[in-house]
Amino acid sequence: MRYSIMLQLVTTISVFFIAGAALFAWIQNRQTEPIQSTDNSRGGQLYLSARPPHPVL
Amino acid sequence: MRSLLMRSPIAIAAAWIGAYILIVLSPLVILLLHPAPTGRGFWLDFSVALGFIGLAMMVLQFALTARIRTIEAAYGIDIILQFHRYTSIVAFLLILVHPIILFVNDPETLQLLNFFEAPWRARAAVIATLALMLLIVTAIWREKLRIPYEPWRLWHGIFAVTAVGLGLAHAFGVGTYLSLFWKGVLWALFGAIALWLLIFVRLVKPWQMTQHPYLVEEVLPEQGHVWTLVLRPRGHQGLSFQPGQFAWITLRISPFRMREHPFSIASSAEKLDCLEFGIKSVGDFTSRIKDVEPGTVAYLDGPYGVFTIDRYWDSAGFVMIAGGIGITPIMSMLRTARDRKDDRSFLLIYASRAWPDITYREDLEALKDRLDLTIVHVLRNAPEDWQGETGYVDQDLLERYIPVHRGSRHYFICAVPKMMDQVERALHNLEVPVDHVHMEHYNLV
Ligand SMILES: Cc1cc2nc3c(=O)[nH]c(=O)nc-3n(C[C@H](O)[C@H](O)[C@H](O)COP(=O)(O)OP(=O)(O)OC[C@H]3O[C@@H](n4cnc5c(N)ncnc54)[C@H](O)[C@@H]3O)c2cc1C
Repeated sequence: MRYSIMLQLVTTISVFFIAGAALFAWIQNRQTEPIQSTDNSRGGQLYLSARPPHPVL
Repeated sequence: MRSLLMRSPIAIAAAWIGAYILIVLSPLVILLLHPAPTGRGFWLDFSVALGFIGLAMMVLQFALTARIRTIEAAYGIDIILQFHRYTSIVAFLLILVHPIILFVNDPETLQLLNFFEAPWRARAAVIATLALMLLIVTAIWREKLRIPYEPWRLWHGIFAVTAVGLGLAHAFGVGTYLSLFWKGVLWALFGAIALWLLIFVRLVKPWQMTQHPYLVEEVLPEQGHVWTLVLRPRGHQGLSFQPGQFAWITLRISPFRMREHPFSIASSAEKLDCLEFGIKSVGDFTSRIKDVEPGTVAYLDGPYGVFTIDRYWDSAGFVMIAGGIGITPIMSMLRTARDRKDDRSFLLIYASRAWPDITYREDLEALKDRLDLTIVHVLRNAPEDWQGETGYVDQDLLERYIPVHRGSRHYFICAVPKMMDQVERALHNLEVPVDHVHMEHYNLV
């Protein structure tokens, strides 16, 4: 029985971790969304941070 | 700490789990506090985050299994090892999903699996993942694969060190997130902690054990294929322990060889000049106990465990439920209670195969004169003239003997896994509070 409690606990922690990873990815990428320039005369869009590609694996 | 634990074990558990989550997520938190490379896409960052979480969880496995007393003293080694098992599987899945997301997201990255042409950081990742796979398969199916405990333990360590070492090397090699100073420092710290734990377990602890040797005083036969191994400390005070705790014994060989076996201490905690262990012959190590010569050198690592009456000072009494060799820690608790002139009530429900197999039968009878002790023997193969209980320790039997005020006692169970599960369920059905039930598992692996 206590092992089933443990299973529930570890499942909850895992969901927490996956949600944390998703939140992390979202925050990291949020700033790259195009944001509306306040300078309407140019009518353009600003992009934050354009970095060179990085190795992935 | 101990009184807080007794008042609120849930508060302590929450604190431990909070610390665990914080440590695992710390690399990601630090990344968010510092300017990080952005614009790589949600899935890539998500995959990397899963890899980081999996790696941090793997590093923490070293802490969970290093027998650190403060961690172990909170909940006992079997609970910690169960947590270790479940979280290892989660870490493995996260680490496995991490490259799969990359491959789906950008199929070109599949080229990194070409072992001979891939950069070394990718090769490190491949070997680490393979080591992790072997680690998980051999741990889950050790008995089915018929791998004996000793070589399994050795390879378990080798796979773990390979997986974590190469995992860290891979993280440093990729560098995207680690190129920034503090992130590198954090992972270097993780690596250093894992390395220190390894040195601690493999070198420091064995060295400490060599400083406190014991000599075998005698080996006495008991009923039920059990031998009492008596150890006397040589040149030191001996082990101070709580009744019901256990120690890891190394016999005849150097503790650096890491071939130790766990056994409950069966003697009284009030008698430190000699320690007694009741050892049942079941395999390689235990079947040779009877041949151990007096004067043989032994080393102990301990005491460990939370299966002890000492944590429940306020209890009105105790219900002990033993099956076979599970009597040893209970014997220690009863002998200690006798020596301390404990006037509380003790009920022992003791399941054995047959009358001649009852280990410590006469000693237990003698204890009845010195303690408020009731013994209920339960025999599976009872003789025809047997008036007592027969069969299994089930709910009906327990209901007949345990006190009506269930919460007034603490319940200690030590037996084979199947019996422990049944008794635990029966006590739950009989409305014994869950935090009053304590168990010692002899099958850690
Ligand atoms: C907390 C605890 C307290 C114990 N107290 C007692 C006791 O008081 N008396 C008693 O007779 N037995 C006790 N045991 C069980 C005892 O440790 C094993 O029976 C013994 O280690 C078996 O070794 P073996 O080589 O003879 O048998 P094997 O046939 O090699 O092993 C049988 C099984 O025992 C386990 N085991 C074997 N070696 C080890 C090891 N080094 N570490 C952990 N588990 C191992 C494995 O699950 C294995 O499958 C206790 C176990 C634990 C975990």
